[in-house]
Amino acid sequence: MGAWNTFADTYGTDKALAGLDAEQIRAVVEVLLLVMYADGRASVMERMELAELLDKLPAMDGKAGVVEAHVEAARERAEKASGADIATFARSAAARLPDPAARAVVFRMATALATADLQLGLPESAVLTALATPSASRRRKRSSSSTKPAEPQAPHPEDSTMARELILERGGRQSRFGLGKVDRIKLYGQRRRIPLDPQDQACERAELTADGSLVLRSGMTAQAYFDDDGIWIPQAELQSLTADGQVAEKHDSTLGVPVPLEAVDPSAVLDSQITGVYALDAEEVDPELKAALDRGEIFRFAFNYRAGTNLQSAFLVANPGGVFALVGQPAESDWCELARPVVDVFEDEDEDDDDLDFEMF
Amino acid sequence: MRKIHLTNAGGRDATVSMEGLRTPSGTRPGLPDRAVRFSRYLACTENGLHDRLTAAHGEDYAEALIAGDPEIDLEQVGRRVEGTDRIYLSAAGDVLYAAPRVVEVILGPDGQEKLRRAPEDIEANINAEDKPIRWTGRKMPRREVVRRFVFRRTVQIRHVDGVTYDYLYEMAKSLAADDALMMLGAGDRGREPLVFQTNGSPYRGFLEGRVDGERYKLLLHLSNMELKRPDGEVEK
Repeated sequence: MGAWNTFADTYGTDKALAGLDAEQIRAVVEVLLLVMYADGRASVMERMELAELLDKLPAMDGKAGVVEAHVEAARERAEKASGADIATFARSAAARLPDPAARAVVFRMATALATADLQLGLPESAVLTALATPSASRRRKRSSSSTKPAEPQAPHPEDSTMARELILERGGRQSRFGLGKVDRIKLYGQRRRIPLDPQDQACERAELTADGSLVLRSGMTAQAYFDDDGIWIPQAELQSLTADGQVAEKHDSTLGVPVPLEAVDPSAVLDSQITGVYALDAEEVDPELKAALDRGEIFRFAFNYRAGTNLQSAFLVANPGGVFALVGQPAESDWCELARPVVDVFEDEDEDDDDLDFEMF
Repeated sequence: MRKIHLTNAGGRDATVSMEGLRTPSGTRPGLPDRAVRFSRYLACTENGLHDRLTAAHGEDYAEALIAGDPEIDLEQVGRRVEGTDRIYLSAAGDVLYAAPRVVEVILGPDGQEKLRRAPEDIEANINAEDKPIRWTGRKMPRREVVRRFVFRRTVQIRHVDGVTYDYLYEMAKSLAADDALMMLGAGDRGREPLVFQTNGSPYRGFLEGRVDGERYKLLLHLSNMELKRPDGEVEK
């Protein structure tokens, strides 16, 4: 059995991971387990995905033991540590990997694991973001001064795979920013309503099927696409279609590649529905761009966090609190004219005359 | 038609219409040559959940899954799931037959619990008969407002007859001339946030006006978030 496992491991090893030593394999295992337990539980789908992913790691004596040894530690870390601690740990584990190619493969593995149960929770998302964000030390290597004029240069090799870095171009000069998502919960916390059972313990939310025959608990259902004959369509075969049924054009991620900036009026921001906000960390900023932002100027640029079919716009703005990217989509309004008031449509009240309501008595 | 009851600079109130703005429809997963439908189905029964499998086969049950498929109930798995009702289970996993007591927990940005209290319903306040949304008199230049607040929603305010056309057109004209947005608020003094539906998110409202000849646009931009970094986080 041991020989078979070794053969299967060797045969199934991802080429980018073939050169990993025992310590680096441990780092990958730690990253994967951290993703799996980020939300405090591991579903069956996630466990099966993990088993497949572990097969892609090079053969190593006692690999199962390594996994076993890290399971408890990962679960405990997810339960006790704060989100920031987990992110730091994920980043440091990824930093132990030898090169960008290996880190990119591990990031893809982590993404597959995080989405194995078709749910991507905030804790899992935070770990993935941490894995995708270049570490401070890697960033420092590339930035000498935050205000030094940036020379045009080719994208850093890491940017095309792992680093989540904005490269914005204005007047032939580039500025580089690291980015971190900001949301209401990070700023103000949140309000949650928790149902309690008679013993004042938190209830579990579940569902009852329409025929009353089955109680559905979390993890018992899945969702997928099927054709008219009821045949399951694998995710890999599905394509993104436009409203008229055409295959949508795919756009690469705009991170890690230079994207031109266009000065816009504040109305452009107001004509958008903002869907995401990123706080930017200036790494290398063109002084002219910085001066323009300090004057209150606003710039628009194409934004795609990851490759996909919905290319969005983002706005670069600055205030005393920092520099931000507001990601949004256009929202259309129209002109109101005197001759076109909104007409209230009243339902015909006579229509239900026959339905006498006896409950009112 | 959704209605909003608001006042103008002179304190005169009117009830007018409002509607959300259109955003482009995104893409959908599918096949170009075949119709597909999205379906939710049963992936496993309770015996296939992690807790049950651990109890039956131990923590490392992957081999058991491969060898015997204990998680697959051939009578049930694959069944389509439609039209369910929400229920609650006690911590012990029993179905509750009475509505549970609900507690509201306030968590800080660090995820720590700050407060636990009985929940209170917050009623919508944008179309209260006796308390119109107030024109607060607090204006903010357009260029400044987009750099201080995040606007996730906008509703367009429209007239319903000739009288309200004049009323709204004048509002839009004065705001456009000032190149500024007017903060609108609920409550007697206009200091409370706008709530569009019971227990809905509270928003700060900023009214923008544009005119083009005899045409106008009145856009109420809604924000529930300032544009700032989380506490303690400084720009690197």
